[in-house]
Amino acid sequence: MYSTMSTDRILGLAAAAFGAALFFIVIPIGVETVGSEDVGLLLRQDFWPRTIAALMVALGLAVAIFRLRSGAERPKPAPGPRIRPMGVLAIFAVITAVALAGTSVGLLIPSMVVFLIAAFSIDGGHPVTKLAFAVIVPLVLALFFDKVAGISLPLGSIFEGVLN
Amino acid sequence: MDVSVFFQTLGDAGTLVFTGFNLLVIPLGLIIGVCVGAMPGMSAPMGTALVLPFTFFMEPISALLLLLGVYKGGIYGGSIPAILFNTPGTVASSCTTLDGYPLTRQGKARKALDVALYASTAADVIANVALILFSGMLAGLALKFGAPETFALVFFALITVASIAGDQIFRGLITTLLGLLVATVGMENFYGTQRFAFDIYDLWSGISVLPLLIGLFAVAEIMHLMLFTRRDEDYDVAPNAGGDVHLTWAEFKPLRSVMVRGSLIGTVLGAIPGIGAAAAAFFSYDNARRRSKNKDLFGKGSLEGIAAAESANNGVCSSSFIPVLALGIPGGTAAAVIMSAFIVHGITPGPILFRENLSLVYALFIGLMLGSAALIVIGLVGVRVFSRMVNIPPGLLMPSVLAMCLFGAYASESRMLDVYIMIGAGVLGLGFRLLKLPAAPFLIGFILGPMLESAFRDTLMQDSGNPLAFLDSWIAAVFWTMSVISLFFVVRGRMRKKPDPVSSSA
Repeated sequence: MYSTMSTDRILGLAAAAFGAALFFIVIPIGVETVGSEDVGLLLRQDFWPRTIAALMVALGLAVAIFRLRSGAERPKPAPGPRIRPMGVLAIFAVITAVALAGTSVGLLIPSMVVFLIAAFSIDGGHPVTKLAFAVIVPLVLALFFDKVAGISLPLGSIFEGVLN
Repeated sequence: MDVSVFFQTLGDAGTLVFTGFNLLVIPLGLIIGVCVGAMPGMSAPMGTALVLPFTFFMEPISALLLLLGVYKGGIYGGSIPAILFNTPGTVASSCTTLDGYPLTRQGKARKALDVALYASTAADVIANVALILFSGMLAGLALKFGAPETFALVFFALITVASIAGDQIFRGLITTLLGLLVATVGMENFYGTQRFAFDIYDLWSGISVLPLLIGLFAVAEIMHLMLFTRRDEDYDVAPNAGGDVHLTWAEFKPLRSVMVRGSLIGTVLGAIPGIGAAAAAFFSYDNARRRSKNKDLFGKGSLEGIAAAESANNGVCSSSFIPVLALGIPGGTAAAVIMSAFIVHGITPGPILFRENLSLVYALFIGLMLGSAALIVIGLVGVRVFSRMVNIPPGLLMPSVLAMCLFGAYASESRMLDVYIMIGAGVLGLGFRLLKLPAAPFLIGFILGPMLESAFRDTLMQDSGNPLAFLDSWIAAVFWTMSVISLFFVVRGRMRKKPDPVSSSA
């Protein structure tokens, strides 16, 4: 049977495991402690991250051990909407398109692609309007930020010559 | 001060303010501010910075009134996308999303926007009066805030914010810790070494708050819609949601005390350099939740929640100028920009200003009051326009917001890393939603984390590592006591909580 209590317990254990991984693996690799060999523990660069990691372990274990949700097992809640596989794919497509913005493609074309993916994943609006908006909205935004706000955007090789 | 001198100074101030140009500049600044604040990625301080070069040719008083208008309008404007699209236009309005967006989804966008406007204006007036009457006293109080007091205050703030998660405070504490952890990314301030930057140069300056904020709330919301929504009817904005559903007097009446309390919280916290509008909004929100008869509505669409958050963040807006005017210390980024405007125009803020240029100070006070009156007029017109935006089909509206977020994230620091951070924060926010973890404590942990760490270190260094230094002043002791009491009530509340009838019957 589903229970919020067991969800909390899993979450608590996950938080404790994450905190432990931080403490023993990530912090020694990711935090430079050069120059603080002679100072006390409290003033070292890794003291603060280690404190947070330790608190996370303690809190996670506390949640897992002491069953912090009041009451006993709860009945399974009414099933909510199911995750759409196409929605997952669309999110991956958005992430990929945004990743491309870092290349010579620039920010404008990926934002048009992102607009299209989001527009066709969420209903409402005519498909032709969506296509038109996917071009117009990012273009207007790019012009606003570039020309009005004076922020130089990476427009990509195609649009750089046209807009500048 | 001699009464005749007072009236003469007031008369001089009136002559300075009441010119045709100044009466035009005040609403213009507010309109620019509202538009800037309403656009994700364009913060109120950024708006003041963008407008600053245009003020060089103006008289000092006109320049300052324009900048103050932009700042005021920006803080209020941030509430508009926070309510309509779950996208806080500014960090200050992040707390407004908690109840604003649920109200929009219930078809009550207009009511939410009305409350935000009234709360903002009320806070503006109260904070202005405080600025006029208590500048000296509040500045004195702010000066008493050293490292131990700041550490105790921020610690109390984190406990308060984590309890926003209600009966799931432990989930709130986990996300607070995650926020504190993410805030450590970047260059360590004391030694100048890197933490979790992994040799990525752009990460040395840390993670910017704006892309994180936009990702956590707006992008996560859009991704959630993409995951679950297929048809129009799944997106539960009622038809004509923003249309004509005004706030009624009966609904407004109980909000008055919430607004006054929120304004006072914002005014006092705004006078302390560094605390910021977001923290004040969460403080006020939690205070309102604890006192409310309808606690369960908080986070699900409470008008009190919006009133508390908006009154506090706007209270901060005016009172953050108390340290600038009285001491010459900027309390935040926007105050620093406006202080630079003082300096550009040959005015030195601080005690000397009150001695040598009192008529300018009074003129500013008058201008601030006029700004509050203008804000309500501009806001009422703006609410009519903005509230109709929810009637745009979600398939067009949400992708437009997403595109705005992409450009806004880049614009915040002009670097692509912020766009990636925004998308990463969106995935994190989506994860929080799916796991039912509250995002607000994460954000406030992230915002207050650096202040907490630096106050911790400074306290220890000032007293040769003696941990008792944290209790070394009455202000710190007051906040520690409040933290302990707060935790005690949370734990007691959990112990006393009767088993859920549904649970027992299962």
